[in-house]
Amino acid sequence: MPRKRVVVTGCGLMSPLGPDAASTFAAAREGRSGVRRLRSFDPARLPCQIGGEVETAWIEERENPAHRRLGKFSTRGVRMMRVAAAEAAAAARLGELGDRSRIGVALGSHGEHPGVGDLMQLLPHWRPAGGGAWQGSWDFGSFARAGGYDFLGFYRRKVDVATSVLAVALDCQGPAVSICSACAAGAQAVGEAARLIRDGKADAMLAGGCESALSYVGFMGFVLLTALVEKYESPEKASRPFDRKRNGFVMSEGAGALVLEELGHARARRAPILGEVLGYGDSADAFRITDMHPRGAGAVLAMRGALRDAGVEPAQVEYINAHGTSTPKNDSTETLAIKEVFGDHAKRVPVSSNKSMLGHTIGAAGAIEAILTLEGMRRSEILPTINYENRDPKCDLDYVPNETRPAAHRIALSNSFGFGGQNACLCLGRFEDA
Amino acid sequence: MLPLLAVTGAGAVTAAGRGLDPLWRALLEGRAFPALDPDPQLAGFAPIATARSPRLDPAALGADARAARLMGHHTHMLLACAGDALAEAGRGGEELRGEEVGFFAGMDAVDPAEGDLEGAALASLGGEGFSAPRFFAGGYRSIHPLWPLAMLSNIAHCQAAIRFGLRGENATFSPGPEAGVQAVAEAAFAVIEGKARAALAAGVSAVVSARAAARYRERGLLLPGAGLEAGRPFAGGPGAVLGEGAAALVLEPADRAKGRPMHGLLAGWGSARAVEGPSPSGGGASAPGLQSAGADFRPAKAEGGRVSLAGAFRAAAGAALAMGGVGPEEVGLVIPHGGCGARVEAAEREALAGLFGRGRPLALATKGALGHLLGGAPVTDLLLALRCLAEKTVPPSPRRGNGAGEALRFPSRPERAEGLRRALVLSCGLDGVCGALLAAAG
Repeated sequence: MPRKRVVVTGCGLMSPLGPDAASTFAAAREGRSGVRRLRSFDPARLPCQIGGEVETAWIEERENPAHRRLGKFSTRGVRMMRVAAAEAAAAARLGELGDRSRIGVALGSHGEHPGVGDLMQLLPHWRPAGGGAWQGSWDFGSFARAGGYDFLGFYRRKVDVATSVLAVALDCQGPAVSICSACAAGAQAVGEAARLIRDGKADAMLAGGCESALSYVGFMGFVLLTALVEKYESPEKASRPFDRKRNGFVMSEGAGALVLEELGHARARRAPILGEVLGYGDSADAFRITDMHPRGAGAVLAMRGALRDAGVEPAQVEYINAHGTSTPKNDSTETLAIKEVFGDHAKRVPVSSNKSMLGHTIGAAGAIEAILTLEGMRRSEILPTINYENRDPKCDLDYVPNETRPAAHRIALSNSFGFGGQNACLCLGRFEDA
Repeated sequence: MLPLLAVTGAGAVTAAGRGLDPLWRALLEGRAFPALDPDPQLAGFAPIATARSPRLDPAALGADARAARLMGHHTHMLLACAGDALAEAGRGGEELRGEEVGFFAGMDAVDPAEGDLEGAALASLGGEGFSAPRFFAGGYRSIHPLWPLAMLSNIAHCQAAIRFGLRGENATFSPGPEAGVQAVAEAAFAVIEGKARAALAAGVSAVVSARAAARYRERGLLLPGAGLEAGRPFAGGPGAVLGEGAAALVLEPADRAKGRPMHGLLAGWGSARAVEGPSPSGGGASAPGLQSAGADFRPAKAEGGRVSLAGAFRAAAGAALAMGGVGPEEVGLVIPHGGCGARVEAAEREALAGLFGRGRPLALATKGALGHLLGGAPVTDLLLALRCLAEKTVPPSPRRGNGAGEALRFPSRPERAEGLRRALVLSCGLDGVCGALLAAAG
C-alpha cells in the first residue's frame, strides 16, 4: 500500500517580526531584524541585554476572549501558541471537521521556568548555620507557610499543559503528544505529527512549538551558560549566523503552528494545500550535553534520516533552512555536517538561517522555520541570512547573504538541533499533485 | 495487526531495588514499600508516606564527574535501567551500531534543584538576611551554570544517550503515565518502520521532594495527612503514595530475536483522552486508530457528546486489543492503573466491568507495593505483566482494597495460571489521558 502523503493545510505564527505568518514572512523577506533591547525586565547588569521579544499588545489583541478561562493555565508562550494555532486552524478551516477524535495535537514546549517571583519566594528561606560558607539549610516549612507553592505555577511548569490547552481551545480530541527536546522540540512535534497521520492514527494534527523564556531567570540561565551573544554593535546586528564575527545566539520567543493533514482527507474537503511534509529524521549526538559533536555526527544522521524517509536524493534538495544559531561552534559544525551529507552538491545548495532575523526561539524554532520554508517555496523566494559581512573560512557555503533571493525550489530541509544533543530534520516540499 | 515485537532486554529501578528480579521476588512475597517519610524537607506535609528507590552511585553507572554534576536521581535511575536493558538485549545478539538503536523516554516532571541555588542565597545575604538588590547585583552569578539545563526534562534522556552511545531515532515525552506509554509506542513505530533495528523505551518517575509533594497534593493525587493510609488501590480513594522508579525495555522485531532469550512480546497499545467539559463542536471521540483497526470500542459518550474518563479507559484498552487482534476474553491478566484516587478508580472500575463483563480476569495492582511511579508506571507494569506471562504466575497485590472485585480477580497469594497468554496494562494521566499496553507471552 502506498504511504499516505501528509500535507500542510494551515499555518500560524507569532514572532518578534510579526503577529502572524504573513507579516513575519513579509518582514523576513525584507531582511528586517526582530531583535531589540529587552523591555520585559531590566537587563542592565547582565552581559547580554537584547532579545527577540514579541509585542505583548499583539498577543492581547488576538487572544480569543472565549478562551479567557484558559488564561490562568497559560504561560506567555502558550498564549502565543493559542493565537498561532487559531490562525492555523482558521486557515485550514479546521472547525468544519465533524469527527474531532481524528484531530490530534503534537506540541514542543517546555513549560515555564521558575521566575524571579519563585526565586524571591524561595531564597529568603535559606538559613545560614554560621559555620562558614555553604553551611546552612533550606527551611521548607517556612517556605510552605509563606505560600511558596503556587497551584497554577505547577500547571504552568508542566510540559503537557500547552498541548492540553490547545486540545481544549480547538476541540482536538485525537492523539495528544507533548515533546520536550529543547531546540529540536518544534521540528520533532511536526515530524511525530506527520508520523501519526501516516500511521492512520489521525486525519489531521495541529503541530508546532512555542517558547517564551525571556524572563529574568530564563534569560539568566543562558547568560550563566555563556551561550548568548555578548559583543555586538547594535541589537539588530547581533545575530549573525555563519559570519566570522558571530559570538553567541540571541534569545527570542515565539510560536509556530501547522495543521497537517492526510492528502486524501484534505482534498475531499477542498482544503488549501500549502506544502507537504515529505520526510522526517531525528537522532542524538550522544556526545556532550553542552557541546555539539565536533563533526556534527548527529546532524548528519538526522539529515540523512529525513532524506531517506522522504525518498529524496541529496542532489534533489534545493534549499536548506539551517539551524544556524550564530554560535561559533554550531555554525561551523552544521556546515561540516551539510558537506558530509551533500558532498559536492553542498556548494550549490543555498543555506540560510532565519535566526539572523528572529533570534533563537528555542522550542518554537523548528515549527517557525518550517513555516517560513514552506512559504518561501510557495513564493519561490529564499529568505536571507542577514548580518553576513565577514567570511569565515570554516563556513564556506552559499548562505544567501543579506537579501532575499528569488528562486523556484521544490524540496527543502529544515534543521533543528537541541541542547543536550537531540536533532531533528524535516524534509519539506512544495505541493505537487502527482 | 501489529507485527510481532520482542522485548529482548529489561531493566528497572524501584523501591525494591535495582533490577526486575528483586522486584518480582518482593511482589511474590507480598511486600509493600510505602513508609512514613521522615525527611525534614517533607515536614510540612507530615504525615506523608513515600516509596523511595535506593540512591545510586553515578560513578558506578559509568558517569564521569563532570556529567554527574548535572544529574539528579531521575537520571541515575534512567542510566541504571537503560544500561541493564541494553546489556541484557546485547546477549547473544549481533552488535548494533549506536545509530541503529532508537531511544524514547517518558520523563515525569523534573524539579529545580534547590541545592543549585544555595550559592546565590549565600551571596545575596545582607545585614538582615536575604537581599534582593544583592541578588540582582551579582548574587545570581553564584547559581550553578548548569541549573537551567538540569531542570529540562530531556537532559536526563540525553545523558543516557551519551552514556550508551545511542544516536538513532529519539524523542522525549513528558510528563505523566501518558509519556511512558508514548515512549513505548514510538519505540515500536521506529522498529516497525525500519528506522531503528532496535529501540529502547523508558519511563521515569518524579523524584520525591518537597516540591513534588506540593505539586501532586495540589493536583489531588496526594491527600493531606493521609500518611500510611494512602497508596491503597481500590480502597475508596485514600490518595496515592509518591513512588520513585524507572523502567526500560528494548524492542526488536521478533524474527530478529529468534533463538535469543526474551521477556515476551509487545502486542498493542492505545491511548484516549477524556474530554469532560462542554464541547464547542458537539463531536464525539474514540481512541486513536480505532477506525483503521475496524473495531468498535467507541466509548460511551457523556452528556453533550464528550468522552467520560471511563470511556477513555475503554477506548484506550479497545485500541490496544484491536491492534493485537484479540478480544477482551483472550486477556488473562490485567494490571490496572489503580491510582488510589476515588474518581479515577471509579471510572476504571466502570470501564473494566464494561470491557470484561463477568470474565473477571486475574489482576495485579502494583501501586500498593511501589507507590505511584507516574511516568515510570506503564513501562514498569508492562515488564511485570511480561514476567507474569513468562512465569505463568500472578503475585498478590499488597495493600489493596476490595473495590474492583466485581471486574477483576486479585489473588491473595501467588497464583499459578497455566493458560496465561496475554496481559493488559492500563494507565491514566493527571489530565485524563488514558493509556493501554498489551503484552503477550513470547
